[in-house]
Amino acid sequence: MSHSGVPLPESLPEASSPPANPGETVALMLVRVGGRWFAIDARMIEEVAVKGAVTRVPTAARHVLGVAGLRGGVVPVISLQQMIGIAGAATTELATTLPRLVVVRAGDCELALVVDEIRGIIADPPAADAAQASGAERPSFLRQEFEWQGKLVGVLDVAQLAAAAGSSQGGA
Amino acid sequence: MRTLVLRAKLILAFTLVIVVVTLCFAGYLLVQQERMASAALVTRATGITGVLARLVAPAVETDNRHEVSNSLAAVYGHADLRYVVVMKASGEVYDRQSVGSLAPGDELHDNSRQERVVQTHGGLLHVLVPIVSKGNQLGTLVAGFSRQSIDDAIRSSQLALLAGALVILLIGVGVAWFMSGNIARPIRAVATRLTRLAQDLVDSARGQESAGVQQASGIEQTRRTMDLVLASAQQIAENSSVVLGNAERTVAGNRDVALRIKELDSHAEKAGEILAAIMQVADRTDLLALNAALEGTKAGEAGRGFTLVAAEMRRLAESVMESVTGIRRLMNDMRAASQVAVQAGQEGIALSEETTRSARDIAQVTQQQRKATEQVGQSMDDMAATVTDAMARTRKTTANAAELAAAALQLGTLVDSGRSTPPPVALVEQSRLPASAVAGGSNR
Repeated sequence: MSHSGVPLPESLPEASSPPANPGETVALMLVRVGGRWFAIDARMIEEVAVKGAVTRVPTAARHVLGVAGLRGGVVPVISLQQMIGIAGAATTELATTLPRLVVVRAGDCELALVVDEIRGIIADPPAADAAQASGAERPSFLRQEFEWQGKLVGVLDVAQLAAAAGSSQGGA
Repeated sequence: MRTLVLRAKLILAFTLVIVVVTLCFAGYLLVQQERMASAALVTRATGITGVLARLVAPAVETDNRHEVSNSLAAVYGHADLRYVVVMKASGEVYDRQSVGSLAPGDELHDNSRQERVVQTHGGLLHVLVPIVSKGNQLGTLVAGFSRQSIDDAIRSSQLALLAGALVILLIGVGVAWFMSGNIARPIRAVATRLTRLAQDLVDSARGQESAGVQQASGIEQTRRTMDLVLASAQQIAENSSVVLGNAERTVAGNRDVALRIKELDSHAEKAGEILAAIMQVADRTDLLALNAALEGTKAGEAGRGFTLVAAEMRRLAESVMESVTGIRRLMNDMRAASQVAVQAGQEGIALSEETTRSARDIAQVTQQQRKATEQVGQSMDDMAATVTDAMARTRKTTANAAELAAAALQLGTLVDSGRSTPPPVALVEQSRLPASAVAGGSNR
């Protein structure tokens, strides 16, 4: 399922993610949301938790499901499905585990992303140019896309995602 | 005589009656005729003799023999007069006249009579009359008369009577023939009709016998069929009781199976709870391994081994979860199958109970059917006995009818053998039906 560490290409884009040192491999966590696959930089991930009770927040944006108590704090729970507009019923894949919350940190901001399945951590993502022409209008928090085992995987920019979630949240 | 027919007997009887009557009448007539003719002869003879005595009295007194002869000649041509003798008182035959030859002794010479005497002697009627003149008896006149005229008259009368009797006899025979015909004809018609009726009676009785035989055969057939039905009912009753037992055992078995399946379902539910706990543990393990791998990744090269171990742990946890998921799927399938089995068992119980009720109903109905069949068999026996009795009576009727027909035939033969009624066909052969044809229906 997971692959052994392979050095990432130099051309792997980076925005707000901490730059990788020369010779350091970039590890990505593969998650599934609905019928789509995303990759999150493992260094940006605080922890993975079970999706427990989520308290809804009035006047919050639609993609903000609410807040959940994690590690003694309150973290907003974000639905990528709502942000990108992924149809939940479109997937034919079945999750082995319960729904998870992937807690990411962008600066001081912590977000809990609701994912249906976590495939694992890979350290050798393929070349990014292999699937550049997948979507016409890509969200700003979607840095690039690559193909992995026949699946199109979009690499999430956590900082941009936090900004987009925050702006949308503020706008809402 | 036994072979004479009735009509001949009638004619003979008529003829005999006619002959007897005719003979009696003829005899009586002849006797009367003879008696009357004799009386008339006596009257005539006494008259003639008296007249002659008076005629000859003067001549005898005067002794005129010629006058006496003349006087006697006056009656000489009389048919029956055979002789006349005039005797004097002294006994001397004064004169005599006779017709034909007379045997000596045929003439009666008696002078002792003083009054008229009529005597029959030697086949002649002799009349002795005294010749009296002036109170003195001068002599006696004796005249002899024969019975020739009487005999001739009687003979002619006999011939006439015989002819009349023959005519009467012929007429009587004809009348007897006609009357016997009138008498015999209706008797013959009655005999013919009686013969025909007897024949019809025999035919009808035989038809009844034949119908009785068929009826007895039908009863026997029905009886056999009822026996078969009875045996079938018995078999059905036994089979239905077997079915009833099987159905009851099936109900008990289905209930036991349903109970076991319920227990199995309960066990499966408990196993599902255990699997849920295992699943939860595996999920936690997966989460911990994932976080450990994450931490190892963050640690860089130093955490690589930790990452690998965490990844392996996570793989194990996922394998456990996949296995649990598969087991839960199997358990779900098994529970669904057990539910289906429980439902099928319930339906089987319902069907078995229905089968039990049906088998019980069948047993009850079969019992009733067996009783009804036995009653029908008893009725068949009664009917067979009745038919046997009726056939015996019919045979007796047939025999009586045959005897009646034979009597009618004999009557027709007696009436007129020449025109006898047609003999009834096979009247002699009595309908002796085999007793086994009938006895089989009742002697069961």
